[in-house]
Amino acid sequence: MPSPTPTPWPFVRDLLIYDELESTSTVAGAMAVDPGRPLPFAVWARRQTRGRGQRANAWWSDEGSLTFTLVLDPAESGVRVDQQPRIALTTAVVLVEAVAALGLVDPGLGVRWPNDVEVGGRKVAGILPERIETPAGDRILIGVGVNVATRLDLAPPEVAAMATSLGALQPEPLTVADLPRFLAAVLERFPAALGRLAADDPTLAAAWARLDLLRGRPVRAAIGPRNLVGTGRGIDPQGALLVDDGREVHRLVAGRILREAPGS
Amino acid sequence: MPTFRKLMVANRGEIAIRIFRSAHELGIRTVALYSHEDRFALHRLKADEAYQIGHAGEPIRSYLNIPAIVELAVEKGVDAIHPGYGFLSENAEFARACAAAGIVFVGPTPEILDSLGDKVAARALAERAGVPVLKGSQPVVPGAEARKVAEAMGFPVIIKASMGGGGRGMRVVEKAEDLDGALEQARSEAKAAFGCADAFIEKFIAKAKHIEVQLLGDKHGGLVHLFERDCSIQRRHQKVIEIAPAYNLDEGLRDAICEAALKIGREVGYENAGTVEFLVDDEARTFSFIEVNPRLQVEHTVTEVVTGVDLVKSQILIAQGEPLANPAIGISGQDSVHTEGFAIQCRITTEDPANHFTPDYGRITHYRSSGGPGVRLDGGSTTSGAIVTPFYDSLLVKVSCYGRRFVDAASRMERALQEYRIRGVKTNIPFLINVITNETFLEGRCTTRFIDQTPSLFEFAERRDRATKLLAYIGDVTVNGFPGVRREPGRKIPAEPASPAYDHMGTIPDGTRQRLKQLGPEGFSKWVREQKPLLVTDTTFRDAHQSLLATRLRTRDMLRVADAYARRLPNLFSLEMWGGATFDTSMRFLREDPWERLTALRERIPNILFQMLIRGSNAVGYTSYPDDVVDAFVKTATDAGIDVFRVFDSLNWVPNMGACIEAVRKAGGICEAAICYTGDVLDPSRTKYDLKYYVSMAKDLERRGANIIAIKDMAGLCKPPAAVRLIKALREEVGLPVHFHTHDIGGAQAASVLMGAEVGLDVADGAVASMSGLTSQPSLNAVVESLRFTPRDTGVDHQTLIDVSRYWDEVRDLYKPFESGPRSPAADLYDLEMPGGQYTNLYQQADALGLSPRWLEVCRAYSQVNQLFGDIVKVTPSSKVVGDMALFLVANNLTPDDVLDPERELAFPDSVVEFMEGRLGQPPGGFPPALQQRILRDRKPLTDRAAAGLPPADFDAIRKKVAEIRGVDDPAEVSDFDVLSYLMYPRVFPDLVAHERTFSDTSVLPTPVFFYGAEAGEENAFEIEPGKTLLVKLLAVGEPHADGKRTVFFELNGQPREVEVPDRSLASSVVEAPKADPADPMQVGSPLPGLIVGVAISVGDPVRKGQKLFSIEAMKMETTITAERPGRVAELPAKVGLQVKAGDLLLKLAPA
Repeated sequence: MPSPTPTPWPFVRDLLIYDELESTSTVAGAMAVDPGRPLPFAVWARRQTRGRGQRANAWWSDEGSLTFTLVLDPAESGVRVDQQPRIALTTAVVLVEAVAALGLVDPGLGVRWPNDVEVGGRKVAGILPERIETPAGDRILIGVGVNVATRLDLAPPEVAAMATSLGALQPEPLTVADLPRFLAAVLERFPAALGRLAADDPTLAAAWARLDLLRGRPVRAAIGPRNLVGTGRGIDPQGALLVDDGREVHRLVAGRILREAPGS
Repeated sequence: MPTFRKLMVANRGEIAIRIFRSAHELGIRTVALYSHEDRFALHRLKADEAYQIGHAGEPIRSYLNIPAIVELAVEKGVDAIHPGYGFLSENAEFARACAAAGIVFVGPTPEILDSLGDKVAARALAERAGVPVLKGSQPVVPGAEARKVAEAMGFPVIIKASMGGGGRGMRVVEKAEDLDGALEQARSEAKAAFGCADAFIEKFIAKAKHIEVQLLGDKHGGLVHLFERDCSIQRRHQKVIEIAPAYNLDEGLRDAICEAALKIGREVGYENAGTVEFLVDDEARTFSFIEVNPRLQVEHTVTEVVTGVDLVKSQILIAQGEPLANPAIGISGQDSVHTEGFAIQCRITTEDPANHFTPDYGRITHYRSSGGPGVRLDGGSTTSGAIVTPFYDSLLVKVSCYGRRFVDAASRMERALQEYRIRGVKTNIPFLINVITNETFLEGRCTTRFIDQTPSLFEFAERRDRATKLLAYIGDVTVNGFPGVRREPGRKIPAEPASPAYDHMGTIPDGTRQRLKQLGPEGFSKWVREQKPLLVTDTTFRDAHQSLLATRLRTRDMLRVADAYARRLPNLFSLEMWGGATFDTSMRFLREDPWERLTALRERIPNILFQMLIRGSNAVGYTSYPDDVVDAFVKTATDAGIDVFRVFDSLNWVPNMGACIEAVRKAGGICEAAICYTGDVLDPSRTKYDLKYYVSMAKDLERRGANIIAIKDMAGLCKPPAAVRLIKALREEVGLPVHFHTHDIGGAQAASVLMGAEVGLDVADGAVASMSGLTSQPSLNAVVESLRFTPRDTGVDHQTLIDVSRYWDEVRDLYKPFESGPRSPAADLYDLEMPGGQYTNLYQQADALGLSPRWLEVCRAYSQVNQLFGDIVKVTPSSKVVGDMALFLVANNLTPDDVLDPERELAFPDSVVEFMEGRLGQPPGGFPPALQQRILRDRKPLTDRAAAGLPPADFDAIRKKVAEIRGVDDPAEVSDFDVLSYLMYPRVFPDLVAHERTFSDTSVLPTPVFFYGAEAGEENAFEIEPGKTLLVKLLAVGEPHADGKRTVFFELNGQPREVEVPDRSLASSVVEAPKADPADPMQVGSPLPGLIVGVAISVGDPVRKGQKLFSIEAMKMETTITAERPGRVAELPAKVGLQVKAGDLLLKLAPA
């Protein structure tokens, strides 16, 4: 049963906390179309059983994972339609700033364009933005999953090879008890970040460019029916990934970056 | 009255020039008038003085402006004005205005014009004069009165405008119920044309001759007739051809008619020139008066020719006051006038008889006039470069021909019309020729209905005008280039080589073709096996250039050496000269008919077997055809001259070869069943294609009726020791001769041939030295020379092979732009297994996709794909499938893993899907199931041969279609060749026909001109048919016009010619993604940049408000675009996988 919590949480008007949900984004989405629902609000599930990811990537999580979906009205923050796709990058910047703000060790977190936060080739957080049109206007849903204290050493080997947790990177492990303050830290930094996004603040773009893990690295991007093969040349202020295929530098606004195939 | 010093002509065109001429001969100074629209007309330049009259935009009114004309005449001191015909010639007001200004009007008095201008009054006058008139009425209006009058006359009747003439405002009414309506129309037309709505009714004579009499009267009462003219040949009441005197007219009738004309003339006291028109009922021997034209007629010329009287001169002299007896006029009385011989006049106009005589306008690009004995020309603006404007009538020139007898005049006219060359505008000459050669015309039996009732006059042979069309082609290539050919500046294009020498007087020795005819296929096959010499096939005419020059060799270059082959190489086993890619390429790129190549070569080389490569049920196409089509193709090819059919299947699937083998046997040709060689019989680990495999396939083919077994080593994989093993085994296990075909990609294949010869090989393919090696066949010269002085000496003449090789070497120079492929033997061919022809083609395909820098990747992908497909035989078309797939992978940076990844939405090339469907047949071992499933998805694969499931072709329907394409009425006239070409290549064949229609047959052009266009200043000579040579010189290419065309200037046979050519480089080549118009609510644009990952609608679907249309993903954020208004999907540029920018058009809605 949801327990509505009053407004000690920064930014959101409502934070709905569930013990277990299949997917916070599904529930948040259903609520988002309700015109009476005040915005922004968030849905937090302590356990998420069928988290969404693109395709069939089930997002591995245990109670050490922070899985929530934030719903906001972009117009309220002045974010234009063409800026909305940069939400994932903006959120990634927020996450990394939150880590620093909490005094946690950051051993080199970065962004794997466009929506993963990684370190050492392993995923720490995933961000899944979504946009819904309602009669009252656009609603942006940001589904976030952060391995705060996730026990990836207990996960299947193929997952463990691809992911890690913030806790594992700290001198002292983190626990479930650390989740609320992490969430709070994230929510607290959101208004400022949205403001920078809306204002096309160059420091925001500089931030995600600095966090770009693909710069100078080989990139294979699946764009629909073909692959683009080249080298990452940064993320531009519009959030597009620049890929140099040897003949020209392409601006990718969409597409899936493929994990390097072994031996290629 | 004093003689005129200055005469003005208030008219234009040919009649103005006519009058100037006579005036000049009288020593009178001439003055021309011209409108603004006529400022480039010739008549302006033919007078001593010329002045513009009127303003721009008044082409007709300018010549009708009485005050302006009279004022100008006074100003310029003009003594007399000749009005010509039409315009003001019958205008009494004009005549009065002239008189008032003290200027002499060359024509009758204003009073005569008044009395004769009104047609109803004129009839009354005729009756008074005692001349028979057609029953006619006063002016009538629609109603009962008119009907009564008409009924009293008896239908049919004709309605005529009272103040009209020249055939306008006339209507024939057959039935009473049509009378009122016709009267309405006639009256309103008359009002518009002549300013007076009055119309009267006259009895209409259906079968009548129109006979008119020329009158000439002076101011002193002298009046004579100059006999008659027959103007029956009319189209829609307008005269087309006139004859003087009338042919086949009863003498008594003639005299009566002329006498009647005089009576009318006397009744009115006629002065100057005029014509009295009659309708003559030839059978009833009656005639009736129609009207008087108180002016000079268009057809006065024929009277002048047969009487020797210059009517215009006479008019001027009469106007000066001279009597008819004046020696300058020369008429001392009626008896002094007589006719001699016959004259016929044709009016050549710019009307297009094939298009309802619609007048054509434009610039005359070439004008070559007739002339010679008995031809008189009265022309308007008739020069090359003259502009024919739409403002005036379409008359170009009046041609009058004289002959002693009527038939002489007619044949002279036919000759004169044939001599004309007028280009740039259409003319009615083809129609005139039809009339002048018509039997009814030549017998003098034409009535006024002749043209309207003789449909055969409207049948025209299609205009060929090949020279102009060929110039258009040469201009186009000169400006735009030829696809695939880059003109290197400064490179001198080599000249066409001469043919190798041969004895022109000697007979062609018998060869293998005669032997085949003698022995039949079975007997011939036995004969081949018995031969001691190694028999050799020359592939230069087909596979060699297919491999080396992208199949671009033109028929012309083959025909030139054909005679030398027939006479000096009669002991070649065969010439491989057809099929493979030549059918497609000759039509698509060379714009030649492959059947013409076959028949032309067959005619020149009657003694050596002709061999073709045929792809089983694919024949010469890329898809399977029903069995009856293959049957028809083989039969027609055999009839046209193919002797040996090398039949193969691209997967070595024998069931697929059955229908073709049957067809060849039925047609009586030699069936050479081919086994494609792949793998390596020497490598024990390659078990799929081992010796047993080949032997068992050969036995199968022998059972099915093959006459020869061919080893088709398309990729040059059959190494010398492998060839030995294979040939030995085949000859031992199978009783048929063996024919070895290989490509020298690796550089050792001559050894395969020679070592094969040691173990009994019967026939080997080779190409002439200058066209051999690398991707082509091994050198025939080398093989022949190597076997000289050995037991298997081929007997082929050593020197001839050298001469012929030199010839082909020079020819090859002309095809330099098409040279591609490796410059040395390949190192990796045994691993790649790419067939010889494909090395070139695949590289070009890759180049076209911009992938040539990644050629090695393509090669690697090729091998990977072969393995992915289960190791298949790779030859056209299966090699194309592998090649397409390899390019697909490389172009999209995909790996075989990506191919198998079920998550990826991949659009496989059509050829790959069709292959997996089994359309090419079944590969040995079948298709890899997982891959097949992935590629086909829900499509069901075939298990039987593709052709088996095809319905037989509907040849009748195909014939009809081809007849349509050729523009031929009767499908039976369509050739079998065309039918088969269309069946094989339904899109390329119509293109070829269209090319021929536009450019005529360009295969006559020299190869350098065909590919490179013409060099400025260089003269090119070529025959378009035996004895007809065109000499073409390019002068210059003009600057582009506003419409993107350029004028190209030539000299054709020494005469200047121009063609307009569109410059394709000026067309916009940038393809911009269309943007949605923000102001148009029916256009949906993308709100942000991203990738379209979902399209939920199709063209034609209805759309509700709020309905989901697209999903666009941008940086993982998926946005759904929904409809803001209802409608129907009209245009849908959005596609899954398309990257869009903000504002790009996704959808256009039409109202629901």
